[in-house]
Amino acid sequence: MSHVAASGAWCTFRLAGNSYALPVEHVQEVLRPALITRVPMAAPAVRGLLHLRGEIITVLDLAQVLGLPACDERVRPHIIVRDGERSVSLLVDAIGDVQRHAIENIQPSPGTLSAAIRELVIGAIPQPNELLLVLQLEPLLQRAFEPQGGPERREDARECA
Amino acid sequence: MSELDDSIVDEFLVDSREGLDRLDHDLVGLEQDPASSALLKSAFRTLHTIKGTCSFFGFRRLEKLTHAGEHLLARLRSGELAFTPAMASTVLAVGDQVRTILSHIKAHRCEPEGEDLALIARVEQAASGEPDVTSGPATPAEDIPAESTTQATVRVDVRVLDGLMNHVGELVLARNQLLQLVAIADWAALPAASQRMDHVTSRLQEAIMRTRMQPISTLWTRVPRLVRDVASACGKQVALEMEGTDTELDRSLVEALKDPLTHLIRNAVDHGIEAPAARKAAGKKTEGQLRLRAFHEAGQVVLELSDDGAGLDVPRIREKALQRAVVSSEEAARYTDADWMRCIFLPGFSTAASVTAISGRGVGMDVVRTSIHRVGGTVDVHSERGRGTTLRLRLPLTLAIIPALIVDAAGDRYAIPQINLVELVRVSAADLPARIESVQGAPVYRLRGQLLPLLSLARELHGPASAGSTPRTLVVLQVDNRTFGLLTEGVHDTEEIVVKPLSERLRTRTLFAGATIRGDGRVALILDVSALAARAGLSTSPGEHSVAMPVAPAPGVHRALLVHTLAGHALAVALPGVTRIEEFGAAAFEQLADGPVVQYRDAVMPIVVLESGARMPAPWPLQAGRTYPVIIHDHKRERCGYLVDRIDDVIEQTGPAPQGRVVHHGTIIEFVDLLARAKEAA
Repeated sequence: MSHVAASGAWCTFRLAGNSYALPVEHVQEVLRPALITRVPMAAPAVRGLLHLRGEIITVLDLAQVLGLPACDERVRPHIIVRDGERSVSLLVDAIGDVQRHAIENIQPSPGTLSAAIRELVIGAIPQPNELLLVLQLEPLLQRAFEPQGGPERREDARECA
Repeated sequence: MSELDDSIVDEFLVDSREGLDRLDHDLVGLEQDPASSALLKSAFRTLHTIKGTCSFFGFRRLEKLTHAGEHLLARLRSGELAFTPAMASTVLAVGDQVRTILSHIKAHRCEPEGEDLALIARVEQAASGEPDVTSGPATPAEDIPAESTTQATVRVDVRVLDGLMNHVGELVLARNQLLQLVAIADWAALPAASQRMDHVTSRLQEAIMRTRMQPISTLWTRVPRLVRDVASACGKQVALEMEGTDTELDRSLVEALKDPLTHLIRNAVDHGIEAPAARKAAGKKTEGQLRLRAFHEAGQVVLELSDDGAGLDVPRIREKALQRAVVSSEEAARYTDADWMRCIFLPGFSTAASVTAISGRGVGMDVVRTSIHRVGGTVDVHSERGRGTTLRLRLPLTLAIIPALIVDAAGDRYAIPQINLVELVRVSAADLPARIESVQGAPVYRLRGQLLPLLSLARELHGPASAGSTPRTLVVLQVDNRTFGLLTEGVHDTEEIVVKPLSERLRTRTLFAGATIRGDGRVALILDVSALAARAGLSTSPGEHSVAMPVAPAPGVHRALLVHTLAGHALAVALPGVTRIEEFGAAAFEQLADGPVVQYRDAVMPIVVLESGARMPAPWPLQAGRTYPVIIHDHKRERCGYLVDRIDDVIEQTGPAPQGRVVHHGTIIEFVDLLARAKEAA
């Protein structure tokens, strides 16, 4: 999966006060807030499942993946991205415009980013009053499904009454 | 090779592969029946077709090879030569080499370099009538490069396809009607339109299912060759018998069964059936029997593999199990022979060759069980020392749409496949603590005198902190003859659910077999019952904390429904006479001249008094607004409903069949056998 937009078009969105961009090639569509079904014992970033035209889509909390404060999934829009043969939804705070930026405009990401974000960001595009952080999808999805800190099964959990 | 249309080559590859399977089948058949001209003709035709197509595509190497084989078969067909088993091996070797070359063509779109001079010489020698000096079994089919046989195309009967088109036509009409009704806001006609939509969808579903169904013979075509190869490699004689070859199952299951079946057959021939000398010494025919049987039962496909070999050696299994500490000595005391036999499915038993050699089974039996579980099936073993072993696989008809029970846990809804469901027990919160006991720290529920290991769904899913709402219904589940109870906060109806796969990335370490979309558009997760049991430590060690509670009671065990009649009597009704239990609102009962009736399944069902078997007299003792259970009893074509006040429990009696009364908790209760009563009346 290439992490650079071949067409030079980027889908932008906001999350915890910052702007981020993904190549439009990865984005299938955006959705309004929807009802989702939680998945017990899944990785913490997995918010649940969503039904979209007959397909079951895993909903990921992007804020959690990036180590940012999470907010209520019931009011947040979804960005549906392609993950191989399937689709995955990323919860964001707000959807932005599709913007055009040549690849040459991408600069190295600033050193001030937290380590958790730095691995997932390939660069930054300077904007009039902020930086647009360019995310790479594949490592992001990999981290999202990591079971770190998930509720492990305890052998003593057999009592019922 | 020039620029060829890929799709034509792909078609050739699929056709040839089917043809080669048929060739194997015919040749193995010829070994049994060398005089069969039908088999010879069929084998010749197959090779001839492949040769013709190869020449069309310019696959010279294949053409030369198949030509040699065809020449030999032609001479056999014309009667110039007599068929010998060595010839079968030679032509099988040709088939195998053709397969190898086809695999190369599939991967690289051209023939591999080189020639098959030695093989062709061997074929020509056989065709010239000289004895084949290199005779011996052809390469076992296993050693041929593993080829993904997942076919991208399916053959569908044109009539089925036409039927599908008709249904789709009806669906479009139903949709148009629905859209129009909504547009003109004609709400009164909506129920009829929605019912029509329902019917059309069901029929369409059924028709689509049929296109996915394949006879099990597609899975079995390679079995004769496999049995032949394995048998000759181990120096054994095996007669194969196949029954129920037209039993249909979903093609995704056919794929999923391929490897486990191969494994089981190899095991049966290699380890199950004894060498001819040992058989003779045991007073059996030198030729071993291997029987494959497939049939439909209770909405499932059952696949049985039996051999008449030495059977499982229970004392040796016990010894090994204790030695390897897969079973503790206190568990061992409770183990029955059946429990010991199931040890062959334990992972610890699979790798050790020494166990395999003496137990007669073993390599990868846990892998077989895992693959069967993965498709929602179960496997069990039954064996008799010296008489043979039977493996029984139960599989769902399809993986795409399954009946499931919807349950509540911690505020969410989950689906439980009905294949695992045994019964539902309603429990009241007040009653529950009294009926839950603890065995070695694990909770058990006393159900009809049997101890049932207990899990709470909410706790399994969310941990001990989730004990928020009170469990209301105990769902009794069964997987691989292990029965356990699952506490849920409520059950809804059973419905047919469409199974959707979960993302690969989610699939690790979860208790879910997939997800489904419910009528309201929300997603519900499907519980993987065997994973649930395994996680709770229930099924990895057979026998532990669990009771063997077969769905059908053992002989000598009589089950009865304990009810309260409208007149306030307690009665026990023999379960075999109970067809169904339904609930009707008081208003559903209508009074006709000869007694009360209800409308049930598009028919009028008479309501009868349980005590006397006579029609219910007026006036009605029913309270308006409440529902009443009705025990439905079908006898031949007659159906009647026994109205009762409430149903209390199911009780179990051992010993001779109860006559007139049973004793339950020290009380004598009148016993009613509806079957016997119907026979008397007839």
